[in-house]
Amino acid sequence: MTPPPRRRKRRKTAAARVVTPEQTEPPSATESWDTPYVSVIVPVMNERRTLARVIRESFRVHPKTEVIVVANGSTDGSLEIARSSRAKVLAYDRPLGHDVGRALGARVARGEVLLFIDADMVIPASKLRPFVRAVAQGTDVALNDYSGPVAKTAVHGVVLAKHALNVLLGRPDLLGTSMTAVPHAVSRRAISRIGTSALAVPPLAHTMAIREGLNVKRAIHVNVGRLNPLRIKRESTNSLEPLIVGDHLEAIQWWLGKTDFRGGYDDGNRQRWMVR
Amino acid sequence: MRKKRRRVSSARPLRAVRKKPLQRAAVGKSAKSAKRVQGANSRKRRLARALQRQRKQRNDSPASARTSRRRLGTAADRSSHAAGFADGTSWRNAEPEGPVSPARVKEALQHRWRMRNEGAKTADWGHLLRRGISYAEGFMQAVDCRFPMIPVPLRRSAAAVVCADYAEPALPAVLKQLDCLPLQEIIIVLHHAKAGATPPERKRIHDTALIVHLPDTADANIGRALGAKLAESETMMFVSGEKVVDGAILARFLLACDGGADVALNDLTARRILFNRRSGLRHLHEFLNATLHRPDLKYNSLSALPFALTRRAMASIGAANLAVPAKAHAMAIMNKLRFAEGGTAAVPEPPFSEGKWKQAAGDHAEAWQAAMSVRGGRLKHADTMRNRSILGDWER
Repeated sequence: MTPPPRRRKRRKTAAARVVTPEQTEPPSATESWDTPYVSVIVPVMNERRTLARVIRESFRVHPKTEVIVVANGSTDGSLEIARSSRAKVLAYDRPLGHDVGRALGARVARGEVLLFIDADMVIPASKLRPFVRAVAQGTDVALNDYSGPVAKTAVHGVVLAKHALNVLLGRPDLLGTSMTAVPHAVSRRAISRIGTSALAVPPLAHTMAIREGLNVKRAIHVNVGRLNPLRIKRESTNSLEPLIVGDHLEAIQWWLGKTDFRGGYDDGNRQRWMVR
Repeated sequence: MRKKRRRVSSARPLRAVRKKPLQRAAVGKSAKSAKRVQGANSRKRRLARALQRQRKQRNDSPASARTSRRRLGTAADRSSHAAGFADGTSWRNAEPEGPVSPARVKEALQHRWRMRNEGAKTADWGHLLRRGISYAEGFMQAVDCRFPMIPVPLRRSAAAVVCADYAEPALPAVLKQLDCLPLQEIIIVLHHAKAGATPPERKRIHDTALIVHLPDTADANIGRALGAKLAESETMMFVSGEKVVDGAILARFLLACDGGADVALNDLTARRILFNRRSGLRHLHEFLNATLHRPDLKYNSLSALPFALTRRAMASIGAANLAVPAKAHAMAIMNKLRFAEGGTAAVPEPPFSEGKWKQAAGDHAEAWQAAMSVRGGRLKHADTMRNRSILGDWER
């Protein structure tokens, strides 16, 4: 992939288009030459401190990039920041919950590569491009090679859940990486196989991708463990751990439904009829 | 250049550090010296913690329970030895003249030791073990009949169930450890991998155990489940026929179930292995416990031998489920059985590519399937945050 050309002049900020789901139209003939290659999806609630920089870095990932900001329940001016940028904005007046924004953004995305990031952490474009590059070279799901702090005797419940799910799905090589964590990139082929709704429950999407035989790999390491103080405070009072553990169980339930009561694993030479 | 920190290995014996008060940085000294003092204090604390851990391991380890004169150095050991000698003498005097059989001596020793501990408050396991062995030494010295014996003050009957192949080389050593314990029954389920193999003679296996011959090769879990159905004792301990575990470690399982627990698990967490050094199967154990709202069990599981169950637990879980260890573990949690930690025995883990690994992974899938059929798909970890209706109908 050739690096993007250096810009000499700043383009004027175009008026942001507010795209609501009812107004989404397929690209017309005049727009087809401008079809983006990368769609960066950024769900946001209240992240006015970092959103502008996140959007700016997202546009630098590829020359043909569209940025889709899914603002839900925003009260601190994040929606206005998004609208004043060149990003497409999906606006919802109420919080939709964790990760639902990913599914909604993916539905309107037009790129071949869908890159999912969070709005509370500014990741430089140089660290996002390897994910796009991995998908361009054939990976269907390029994951952040970050497994959390594991050099301990007791780890966080979410770190455990991710490791256990990968082991159960026969992919211990993925360690603790998962579509739960950002950034990660997904190919258009993967989206057509697993759909966009499953992205709202990331462990389920992760399980579907592995079950469908898609090429799921670890890309590069981006340390997302160093969270900003506001997020730490938020998660200490309203921990997402029970939710994410339940998501992993939902994924296991789906997988058992698609295989059998043993997840497709062999029972060996166990003669169960001998014992009642 | 940054100084390398010296790691304190718990395997090496540590010299006791003379207790010095923690140094305080003098007022007015530079930040550098304050930092040096702080580093020295934290090193002293680390050393003290490592010493404490090593002392605890020494108390609990079976090696400390070995017969040796130097162990009789403590007053408690000497007093137990004397008590054993006295009881042995009185028992011998009450017996008729002539040689006594080891079986009678064992029975009498166990009975007297249990009476001595009747009503006594629960002691630290290491102390109880050492005092029991000292008592047994004294008793045997008095009756002039010596054999390896670990007396355990059990109130209820206990049995051991082991399943092995005919040609298993470790089986004699496993049975030798079981013979040290106060067991009413030993049930040995034998199967053979080679078709048409001749079963070995009874005297080459065990004199008094109940021996079951299966006609063909059998999964060890099936063999143990069958053996459990034949046991009549209140406590049943399940032991691997392929790996020898010291009798002193096994004794702890018996005591745990006798003391009120329904399930005594192999305490794998005592070895404090880091998460990234554990195998994938351990992650499955730990996640199963966490999803069933028992994070306190960490990665201990009925999938790891040895373990012990009471008759009540056996009836609750069912023999058929015992053939699938991870599922039995899930049933035990859902039926609200009482768990306790038994001893700590190393468990060999199959590599990822092997059939046993895949079978264990399938067992965990089956465990979740069973749990979800009772508690629902998310096992009571509800999703109260997401607005899924906005996504419309979605195909899965």
